[in-house]
Amino acid sequence: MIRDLIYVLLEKTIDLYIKIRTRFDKEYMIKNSSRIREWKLIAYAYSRSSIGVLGGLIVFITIILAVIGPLVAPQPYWVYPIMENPETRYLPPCIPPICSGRPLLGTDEWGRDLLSIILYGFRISFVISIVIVLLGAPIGIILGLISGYKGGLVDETIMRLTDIFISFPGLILAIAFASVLPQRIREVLEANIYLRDFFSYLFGLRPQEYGQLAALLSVWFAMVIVWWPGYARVVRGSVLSVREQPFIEAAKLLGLSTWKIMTRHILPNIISPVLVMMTFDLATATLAAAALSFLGLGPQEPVPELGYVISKAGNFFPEKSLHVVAIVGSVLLFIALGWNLLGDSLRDILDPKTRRSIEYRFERRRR
Amino acid sequence: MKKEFTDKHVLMVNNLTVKFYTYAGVVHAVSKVSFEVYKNEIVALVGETGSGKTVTTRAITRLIESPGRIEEGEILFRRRNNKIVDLMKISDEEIRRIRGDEIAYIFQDPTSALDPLYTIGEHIDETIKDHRFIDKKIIRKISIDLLRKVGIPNPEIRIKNYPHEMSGGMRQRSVISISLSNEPVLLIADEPTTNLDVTIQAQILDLLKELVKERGMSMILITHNLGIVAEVADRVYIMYAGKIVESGDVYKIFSRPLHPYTQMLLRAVPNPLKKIIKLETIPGTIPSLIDPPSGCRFHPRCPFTKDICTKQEPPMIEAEKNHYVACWLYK
Repeated sequence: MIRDLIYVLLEKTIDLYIKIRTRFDKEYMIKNSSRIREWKLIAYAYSRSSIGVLGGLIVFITIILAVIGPLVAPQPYWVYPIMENPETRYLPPCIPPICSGRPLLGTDEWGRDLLSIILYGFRISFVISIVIVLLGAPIGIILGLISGYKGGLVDETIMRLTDIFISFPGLILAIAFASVLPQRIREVLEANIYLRDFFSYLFGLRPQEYGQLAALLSVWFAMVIVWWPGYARVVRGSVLSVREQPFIEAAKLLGLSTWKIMTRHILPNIISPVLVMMTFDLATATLAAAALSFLGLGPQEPVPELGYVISKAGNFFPEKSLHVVAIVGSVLLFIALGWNLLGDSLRDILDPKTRRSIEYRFERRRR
Repeated sequence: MKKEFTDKHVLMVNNLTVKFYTYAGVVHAVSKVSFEVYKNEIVALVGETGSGKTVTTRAITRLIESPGRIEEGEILFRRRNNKIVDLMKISDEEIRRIRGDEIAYIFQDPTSALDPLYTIGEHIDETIKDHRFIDKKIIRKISIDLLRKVGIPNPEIRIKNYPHEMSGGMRQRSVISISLSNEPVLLIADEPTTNLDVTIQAQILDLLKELVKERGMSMILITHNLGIVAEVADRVYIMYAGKIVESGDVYKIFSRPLHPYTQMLLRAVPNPLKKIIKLETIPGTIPSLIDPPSGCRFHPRCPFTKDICTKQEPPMIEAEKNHYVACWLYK
């Protein structure tokens, strides 16, 4: 049922896109019939995969919450209700009818509403993970492309550099960077108001928290710096197999420039494993960033970074803060699970070989 | 036996030597090969698998990948603007501009020579766009015309097809249209019909022949099918183990082959009018090019081996007018 609904939804979206394109180019549909068929096939294959649909749904919720979370949070994160009423510290969650004004998910050590904390935390975790992957992956992809395509000394240099980065445990390297970077970033943020505003808006924080912002950004930088080697390796490996393909030789014989061969012929042919890896990495990056904050290298009070919230609650675990650890932990699990499920289904959908049987069913359905 | 680069020449290759430095040893893939191509003619390069035909043509535009290396040689080429350049001496960027523009290749296997992610149209557009600055719409028009020229029905629709949506013959036609997209001076066709069935082969060959005559290009045709040579080529070079052993007019080669290798090669072509019990073969296999035989490279398989054959390399001599052979039998 849901699957059919999803397929109809995706199909409608594709049709809408075609309609818009047809307005500009009358023959768009006839000329691109094979491309459109492929899109619909992908949509169908996706809608047939239960885990994909589930993952997509979770990711969709994550994105929605990350975007609107800080705007709809019932309570700002910079209040300390405990000052007025010490009773509010670590209130347990309650079941709706008997709440009588108490926060639904309970409170943290400052008596803040845990639901609001999580909504803010969603934004921070989401932005961090997206940016780590979106900055780290291109660095790795470019280096891997050059390394795999050029070969020889260039290849050796880049790969040995990658080896050096890989041989350090990523988290430890990130810890090293995260402990050095904040002061520098803080100075930059202090000097540049627009930059400060931009980043605080991005993370859903207040601009005056720029000290914490610097810590957050340093986690971010540290992760980007240690994130690319995996991509460089994977991309290089794929490039090595694709560059021996006759169509690459054909492109050379036709006198295409190296840059064009790399970007137009090699990259699109290796992109699907990289896309899958990126999806999985969004989950890993979320967890790794939370881990850094958990270790105290990220932002401090009152920034509601999920890893940091867990680490604070850990002090009173499990007598008072069981609900905080459990709920915030589940939120991290939720985000990671969504990306992982989506990545799993993407791997099946993007590979024409595993899609074959689904294609067959699709054709039968059409008839 | 150095020749002058005359007005009729398009390409002249002198003493081209290519070696591959592999772990097993140095492979002497092409040794001191010289040949020339005149305007508006089809030259066939014939030889067994592994005799260095493909490497020779790749070396013309310096596309020898490591561990291969062009050791020596001079490749004179008449550019479109009538300027004569030595392709061995010009810069990498310049030779890249010549590839696909003035010297174009038709690939052996059309199935794998096309990037599966792009439509036929995108392939042609890309080749034109990389060498010339023309408006996109005009390029599209040129592409459609090219596809029509090579005999693809409904080119306006076919141009949006992906390689997997076409048949083998169609793909080969598309590949030819890609090669022709910049109206090259020299077309190098590397076994263009190997993977096609005989009727399509005939169509493709007729098409190539027609295009060469019509556009005034020259073509180097690599093949090991002597039937194709007889039908299409004007002149023939016979290659064996990285060397050219015989060259001449197609009629002369077929009517009076001089080199024992050529004679045996022609005898190996089955005659459809006779019932054949056992196909004629040339005994032995092509020698390892890591350690090629001394003297004449064909001597281990040659029925007429003399003493001198094992010791000294035979020079290329003009046995009759425009018919050259490298064999001690004719000294």
